[in-house]
Amino acid sequence: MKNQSNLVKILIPVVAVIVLAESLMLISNLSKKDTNVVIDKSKTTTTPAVVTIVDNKSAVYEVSVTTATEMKLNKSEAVEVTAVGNSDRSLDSVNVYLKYDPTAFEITNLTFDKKLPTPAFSKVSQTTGLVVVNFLISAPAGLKISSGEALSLMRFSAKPVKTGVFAFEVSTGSQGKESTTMFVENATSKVLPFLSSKLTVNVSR
Amino acid sequence: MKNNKTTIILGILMMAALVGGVYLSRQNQNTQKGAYFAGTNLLIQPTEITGTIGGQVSAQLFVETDGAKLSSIDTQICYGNQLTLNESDPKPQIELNTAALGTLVDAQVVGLANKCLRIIAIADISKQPSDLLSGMVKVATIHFNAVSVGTGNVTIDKAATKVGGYNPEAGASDSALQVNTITDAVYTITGTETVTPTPTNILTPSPTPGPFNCNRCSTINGCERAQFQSSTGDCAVPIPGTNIIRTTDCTCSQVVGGDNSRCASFCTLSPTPTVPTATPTPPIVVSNGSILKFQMAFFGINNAAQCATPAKMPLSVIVRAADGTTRTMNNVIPVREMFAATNLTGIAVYSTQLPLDNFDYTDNLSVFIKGPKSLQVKYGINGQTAYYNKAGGELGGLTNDFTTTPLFDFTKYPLLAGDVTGPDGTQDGVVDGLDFSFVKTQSIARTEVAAGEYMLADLNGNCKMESQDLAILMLSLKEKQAQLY
Repeated sequence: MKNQSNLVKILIPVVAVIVLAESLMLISNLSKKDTNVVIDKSKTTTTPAVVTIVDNKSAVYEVSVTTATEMKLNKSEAVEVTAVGNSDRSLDSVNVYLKYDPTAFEITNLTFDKKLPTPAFSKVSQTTGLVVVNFLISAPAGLKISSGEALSLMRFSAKPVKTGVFAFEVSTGSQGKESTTMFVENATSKVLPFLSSKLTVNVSR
Repeated sequence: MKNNKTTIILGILMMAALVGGVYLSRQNQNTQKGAYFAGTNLLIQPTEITGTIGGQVSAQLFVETDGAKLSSIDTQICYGNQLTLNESDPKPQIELNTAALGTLVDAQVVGLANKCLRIIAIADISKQPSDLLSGMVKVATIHFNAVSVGTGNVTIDKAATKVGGYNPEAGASDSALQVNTITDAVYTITGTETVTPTPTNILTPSPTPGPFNCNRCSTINGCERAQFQSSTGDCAVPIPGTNIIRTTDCTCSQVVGGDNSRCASFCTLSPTPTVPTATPTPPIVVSNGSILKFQMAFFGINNAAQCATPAKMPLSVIVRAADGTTRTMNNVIPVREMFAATNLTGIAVYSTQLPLDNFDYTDNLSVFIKGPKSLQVKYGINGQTAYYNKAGGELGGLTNDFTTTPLFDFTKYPLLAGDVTGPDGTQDGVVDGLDFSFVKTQSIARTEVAAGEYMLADLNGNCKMESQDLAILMLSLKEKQAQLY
């Protein structure tokens, strides 16, 4: 009888710890479901800088594309474009144009950072192979971005529909001056230089 | 024994909590931002509105919720040319139902040709959720001015409408109500219109002092039309120091002792008066090429605009034939059409007639027009109302006679505004974030100039920088991007 009582006394704290762990799991799950796109950081990487837009010294922002570099046919993966600044700036406008191969990917679930206003224009353009997002910040002081702060410019799901090697690349205007990615500073109304690289993805069966 | 029982009960409770925790963590909980927690319908009431010219016409905006509590609305209500609102401040014409939404955050006249009213209203912050209204809720009554006879629609722009409500779910962050159906209204304005005579017809002095807008044949130069302001109603002389806009008009005769070089350059005139004829024939007014005549408009500029005089709005016009041959004319000063005094909010119409020297093409033409702060727009058909997304053009029937060549109407698709700067500080032919920042900076400064002057960022030409200029730019950007992508 005494042994049985001791067993119950040990069991209660164990159950309590398990309940606590489950609660923590529940809370973390809720925060993860904040957006449609969840990026598995363990599988993602960016390739080394392939296209250097400006030299490192003058660049105010570093724009990177993040997703799985190895993808499986017909299996959607999350893609995110982020910008990190090296100084405190306030922005009036952020125009992002991301090139992709429209014959190789189906892009859905385009979402944006909650810090940014609703885009004045956003579209996944199958005809031009561009994901276009234009943020125009009406607030007089602009949008303040601190040094080192990561700004998620866009997130979406990309479903590969054919095998091969394909790239996601931030457009700098080579497809026409309309499609130029730019960060416009509030204080000067000038374009801030940025550094970006393209990400190569291998799609296999 | 009692202690053991308590321990067992506690253990069972813990197990239940464990099972509950596991169950909850497996649930696919929707916390996506922007999700709708309920639906709503928007209505304009009554659905048939009648009024008389010169009076007011009232339309009521209702929101019908499916039991959800209404807390905010951001919508655009568009209306026809027969109705107007005060463009600079429409708030006095909006009667908010404060029992539903107590604060009118913003009200602006926006949209193509300024024919939409944007209303943003929210419930008072002090209101408890239980005090918010649900069901069929009247949001506001809008009192339009009836300015001309006709029928039209008062419509709610569903794409530009957002409705918010109180989400009773514990911890819920989503407050958007999905807009399901829209019910618009039809209005009919009756009465007799008072036509204000155009200044060219003013022959007797007005009892009120000038200035008078004059538009008549020049008395100094042949084949020229002069547009100016005069202190007298007979348009005898311009007010000293004011601008005179001179354009070629072959219907104006040569002036004895005057400069008739325009006639020699652009018009072949009838035989000289030294050859008498019993019944004089009208002058033959022809060019040595096709003659292009059109009227056009600038997006956002209406008749009330005083800082959009033709001299400050020179056009660049390119005419392109089917085989690729083009004729380019820069610095074309159009003539601004006169308008009725009751139509201040109507879109300003500019026109011009251009002799295309040695350009004999008459059909399958396209015309590209660019203004000083506008994007270039391609026109391929007469009466064009939207982006012409085809190669070549269908404009035709041009002649080399000013009296028979057709007048093309491009006013229904105005030039898109907003190209005011570029990476090197000069206009670059696109509307983007740089243009936005430029106009924004100016609008924050609230710069103003006198009537007749010019500001690059003053997109509606009302001589002052304000949020409407920024709104025009944003609409232009949206329209252009939709065309490109």
